[in-house]
Amino acid sequence: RIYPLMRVTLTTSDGASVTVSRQLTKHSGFIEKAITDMAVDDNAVPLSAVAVDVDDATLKLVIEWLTEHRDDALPYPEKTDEERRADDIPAWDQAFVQKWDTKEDQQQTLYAVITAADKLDIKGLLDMTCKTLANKINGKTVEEMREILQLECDFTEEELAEIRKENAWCEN
Amino acid sequence: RPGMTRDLVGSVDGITTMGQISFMDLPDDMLINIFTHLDHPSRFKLRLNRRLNQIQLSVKNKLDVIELKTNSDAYELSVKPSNLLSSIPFRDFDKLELGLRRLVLNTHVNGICIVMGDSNELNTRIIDAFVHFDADKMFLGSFLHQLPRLNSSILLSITQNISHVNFSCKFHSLSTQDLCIIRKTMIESDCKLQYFYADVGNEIREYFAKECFGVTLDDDSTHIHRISDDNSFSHTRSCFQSVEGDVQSTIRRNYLTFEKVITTAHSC
Repeated sequence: RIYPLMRVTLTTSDGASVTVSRQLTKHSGFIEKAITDMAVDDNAVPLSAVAVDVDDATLKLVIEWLTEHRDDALPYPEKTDEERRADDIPAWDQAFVQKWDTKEDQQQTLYAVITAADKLDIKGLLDMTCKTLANKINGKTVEEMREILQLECDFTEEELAEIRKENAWCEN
Repeated sequence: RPGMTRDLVGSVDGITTMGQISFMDLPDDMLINIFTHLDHPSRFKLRLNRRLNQIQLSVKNKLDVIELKTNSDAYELSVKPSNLLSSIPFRDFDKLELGLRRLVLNTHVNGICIVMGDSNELNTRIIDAFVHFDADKMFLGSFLHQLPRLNSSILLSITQNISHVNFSCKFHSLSTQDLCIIRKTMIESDCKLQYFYADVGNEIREYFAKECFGVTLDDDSTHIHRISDDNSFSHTRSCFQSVEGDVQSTIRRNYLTFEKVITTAHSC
């Protein structure tokens, strides 16, 4: 049972404190478990602030997303591989990610939010951000993918030649 | 629970700032999540380093159809649902074979359709690669009415990996012994193959009936001459049928089938 007016203080990895409603934190498996573990009575009041391994800037983005999605149904629906698609990101979420384009390194922000969503166990946010990253590379050439993701190649020449042959059917 | 609180607060130590994260800093399950949202060609192209190459193997691909046709100088490969159409020249045969052998490692296919024009060693190798797919159905045909020779290894892979198989051409290189191997494997082992169909000519049909059931068939199966009493069978004017174990074997004028059945009743 969630008490919407109850507030929880989160301490971030860089020492900041943020107080949020349980209505938002109910979407985070990590925070909910921490609260439950620390609760002393049925009102589920945590003994102290919940420490999260997320920095303040990233946590603010997470809270912004949680605020928009506070009424989303729980548990987050599990999808089979056949049901998974990357073109169904809600308009608000697309605009939310688009805003990051104005930042110096949008990809860094995306990685940070993905990591935060993973650590905080927020399945909806994790799914959305992974889709967003997938959309950036879907249909691109190997060279384009490498450039977008800024990845070094650690294959030997022989291994690389083998992979090029194996991939000929999908690059042709 | 003070201990729990201490543990949680302690988790703040060892924290890293999220300012400098790269794609490769994401944990494996995040990378797998991203892979699953890519179309199939992109999944293979994302093998950009050794770690991603390994992770790609743990992502199960599910394809509706893989279709391979040959034209005068190239293999035409079609993959759905990716709607990919790829033309691979015969001279690049090894690329097709290597690609298929990588694809089979983590791919389930609903339907495989192969239509070949030639019976040669290279096409045998292509079929060998295809029969390693975990597949529901496979159709094998030839517009020249001739398919490559299939060795016992290929036949065994068919029985282990594919549920329904249809050899829809006069498959001259499929011998009586080959058919016996397939039928015997279906009867004696817990194999995946549930239904097998093959077009056969009169000669193979007759040899097979004699070899497997101890009967001789005339051209239209009107008359069956029983040589041995070991097998139970029934027949009508155009059909010979036998059930052994849970496999029903049916021989008709132009084709034969082996089918796993639930009941032991058999009739044409």
